[in-house]
Amino acid sequence: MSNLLQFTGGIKSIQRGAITIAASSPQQTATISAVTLAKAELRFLGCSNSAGEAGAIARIGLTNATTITATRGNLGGETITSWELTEYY
Amino acid sequence: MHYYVQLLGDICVAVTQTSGPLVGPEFIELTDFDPSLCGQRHVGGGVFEPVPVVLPRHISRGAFYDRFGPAKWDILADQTPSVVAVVADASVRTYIDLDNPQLPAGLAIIAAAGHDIDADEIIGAPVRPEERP
Repeated sequence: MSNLLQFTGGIKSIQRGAITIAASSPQQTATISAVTLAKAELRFLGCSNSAGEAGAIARIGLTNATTITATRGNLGGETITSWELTEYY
Repeated sequence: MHYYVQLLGDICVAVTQTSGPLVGPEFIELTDFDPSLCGQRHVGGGVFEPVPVVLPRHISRGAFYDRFGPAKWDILADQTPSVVAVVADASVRTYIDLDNPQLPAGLAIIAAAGHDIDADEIIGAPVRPEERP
């Protein structure tokens, strides 16, 4: 059964995390276990800001095989972004 | 599964559940996935403490004009070149920084033009949520 999953794109791993962008900072990265970019799916799970500034939400991206980057334009307050990454076979 | 805090300096900037181990001086391994550690300071031995978030004292342009109180309309209508310059300077900014060292001088110009304003209150009053840009 496990061999069948490998050939049909079953889930290889799931990683999740939260990234904090400090007040006045535009960006922060998080290091992850290496994934194959073409077989990985990153999901945005939500965002909060300590100053209640709706404009200070962040976007996230899988920058490379071991890095997720959270970036924002509005630099007010501290922004925390949650994410989940699935890698398939 | 492995769980890590990622530090930048001594501040937790990320908490991650990973499929494999991470190696590096910036990682502290946890026993559980605990995103509440985000933003906290590592004081040693895997112990974290909250760090107060100091927000910049920024207000919107409109909130700044509102701080003039009843004198607002006369100030905005004043065609004295120096007052016009102060208003124009404020109007082109994305927000007003109450800690800008130039701000007291600008308010002094408005007061010198005869307007009844409380510069200390305008600069020193706490920033209310509705005033934020």
